[in-house]
This record gives sequence, C-alpha cells and structure tokens, in this order.
Amino acid sequence: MGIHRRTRLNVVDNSALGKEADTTGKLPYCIHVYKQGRRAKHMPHAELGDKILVAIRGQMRKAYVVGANTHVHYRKHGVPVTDQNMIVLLDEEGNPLGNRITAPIPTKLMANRANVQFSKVLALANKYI
Amino acid sequence: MFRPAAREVVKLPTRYFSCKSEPTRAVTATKKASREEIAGLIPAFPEIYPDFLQSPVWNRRNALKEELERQDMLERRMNIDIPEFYVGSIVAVTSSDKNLGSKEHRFVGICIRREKEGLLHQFTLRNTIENIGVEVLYDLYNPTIKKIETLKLEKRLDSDLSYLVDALPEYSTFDFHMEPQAHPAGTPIPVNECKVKLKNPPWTRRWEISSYRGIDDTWTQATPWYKRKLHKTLVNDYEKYDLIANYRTSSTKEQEVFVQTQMQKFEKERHAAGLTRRRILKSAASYK
Repeated sequence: MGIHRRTRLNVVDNSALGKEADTTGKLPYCIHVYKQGRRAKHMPHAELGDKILVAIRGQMRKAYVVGANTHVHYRKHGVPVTDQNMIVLLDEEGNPLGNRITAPIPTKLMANRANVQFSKVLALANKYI
Repeated sequence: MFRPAAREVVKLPTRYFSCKSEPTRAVTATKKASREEIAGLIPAFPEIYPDFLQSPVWNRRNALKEELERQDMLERRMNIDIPEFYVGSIVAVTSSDKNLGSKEHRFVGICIRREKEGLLHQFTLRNTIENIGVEVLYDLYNPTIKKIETLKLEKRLDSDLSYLVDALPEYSTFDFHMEPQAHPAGTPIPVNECKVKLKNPPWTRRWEISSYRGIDDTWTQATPWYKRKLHKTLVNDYEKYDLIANYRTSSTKEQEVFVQTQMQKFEKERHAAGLTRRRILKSAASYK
C-alpha cells in the first residue's frame, strides 16, 4: 500500500551496513518520508524515486526508494512493480553509501536525472527493467 | 440506438436463455456452434476479446459509451497488431520509453491478469529478474505500446494467476530471449495443467480458501492458526447454487454476435478502401 512509517524495506546496494542488515534478518524500516503533506497525520506515501529516512541497525539513514511494491489498484501503465520495496542507502552528505546496485531498477527513475544526488544513485545501476 | 440493419444480422438459432442451467438446451447450443463459424464468427469470442465485452456490472453498461470506445479500439487495432493471448500465455511487449537511450523497452513475462472492458482494458505481465519478482501492468490501447508478441500461446487452469506472487520463483521465470513458438492454425489452444507450489506462508492473500485449480495443495501449507480459525470452506462455495450467475455477469450471445458483425464490417470497409490488409477478427483455434 505504499511506503510509509514502519514499512520494512530491502537494501539493494553493496554497502556494509545494508549487507549486515540483510544477514542479521533485521530489515530496515521507514521512519519518515521527505515529501510535502497537507496534514501531519496524513503524510503522503513514498513512491519510486522518493527520499525517505530509515532506521537500520540502530542508526538513522536517508535512502532513496528504487523499487516499490505498489498495490494493484494504484499501478500505472508500464511502470514495473517489484515484489519487495528496494532502497539505496545514503550517507550524511547525501552520496550513496555503496558503490553498486545489485538489483535491476525501473527505467522510470531515469526521469529524475536532473537531481544531482539522485544521478549519483543512477550511476551505480547496472541493469534496468 | 446502434442497432444493426436487419440484413446485417446473422441469423442464428434462437437461444432461449443465456445461462447453461438446462442441460438439454446447453447441448443444442454446442451443436449449432458450427453454423456460427460458417458465418465467420468466433465461438470463443469472450475469451479472445475480453476488451470488447460489456461490463459485468449491469448498471455500468452504456450502449453509447461502448459504441464510441469500440470505434477507437478498432481504429487502434488497424494501426497495431494485437495478437490473441490468454492469461497464462507468455507475452512480450515493446513500448516506447523516453528515458532510455534506445527509446524502446521490451518486457517479457507470463500474463497473469486481464481486467476491465473497453478502452481501459489492462493486462499484467510477470517475470523474475535476478531473483526479484517484477510485474508490469500495461493498458492494451495505450499509444506508447509499439508491439505486442505472443511468444507462447497457452492457457492455464485458472483465469487469474495472481497467486504466482507467492509461488516459488521458478514458476514465473522466463527467458527474455525466448524464441516465439508458433501455434499450428486450427488446433485448439493447449492448456498447461501445471500446478504451482507456493512458498511457505504468510502469503499476500489467503489462496487456500479460494478455489484455484492451479495451486498444488495449499491446505497442508496453511498455518495452524488459520486452520483452527477456519475450516476448509471455500469463499465462493455457494456460487454453484446461483443458477443465473452466468446470466448476470457474462455477456449475452446477441451482444457478441452484434460486436463481431460490426468488426467484420469495419474490416471489410478498410480492406475495400485498400489501405490495409490487417485482420482484426481472428482466432488461432478456428482458422479460416
């Protein structure tokens, strides 16, 4: 139903932090979505290419959503939907933490190329769906 | 409003009811199918062209809207070859993508769902890429679609394969470089009687209480909590007692014949104008 507070996510870059979360089985979860909302209690859900704040291994990290499991009623023509929610972790400066994305990501994300931070994430991708 | 002129109506033997509750009449209906084929009509029309059917919800049916949409759909079908495919067929869709350098994107997958009627008809393809399940929804009449190919024409035991989400990944893994397999014209569409094995629960939906034929033994896999909670009763178990369910939801024979004759007429007009030789109304099972 979209990514919002407490949604569990899968890290798909090769950062040590992401791999640690994967091996321990304690998946990161979303704690905030960086998006304008009308009211505090009705915050918008994160979609493809949105920036979120996640809790991972006792730390708070910013991350970009690079794959979303969208509800059947909210799907759009030609936008791939993955079975899991995939994120790429960012460090404090906003650069990607890892140096490779291990999963195929939707081509729709390339529409965000103009964003300098996001273009750094796109540079790590090696396969598009 | 859009009644065909009397001479256009194909004379078919009268069908008393659209439901098949009476076995004697159901038998006569199957016998007369051959006459239908002589008139160039397709017996399996609702399956091949779900987009040309009326809404299953009666109060949403609107003859004018359907007629206008049908004109647009026929125009589109003159520009793009939309092949016959079913839920369970393996389909490749090439669509234009402004984000890619090649401006073109191809996706291959098994068709797991076909929904909605008219111009809004949608189908969903599913594939597993690098162990990640991917589903892509396409609008059949979206102008960004450049090409639709049926790589393997077959059916499965169910008309909705949504359960592949919870099946083991090998059941939804298909090669992107798959060679198209030709279907011999005039032979019936093969039914793939493969039964999928599900992953361990929790599942996205409770598949064990719906009557899916293509799932291999869901009840033993269901968690004990659910087994205690609910005995093995199917959700729609009572539906077999609803004798006119078919009449309420499915299309009527009269409407099918009307739409098919309209398609034939449209085809003939365009062929006579010499613009195209593309055929809209065709079926792989009944080759003519």
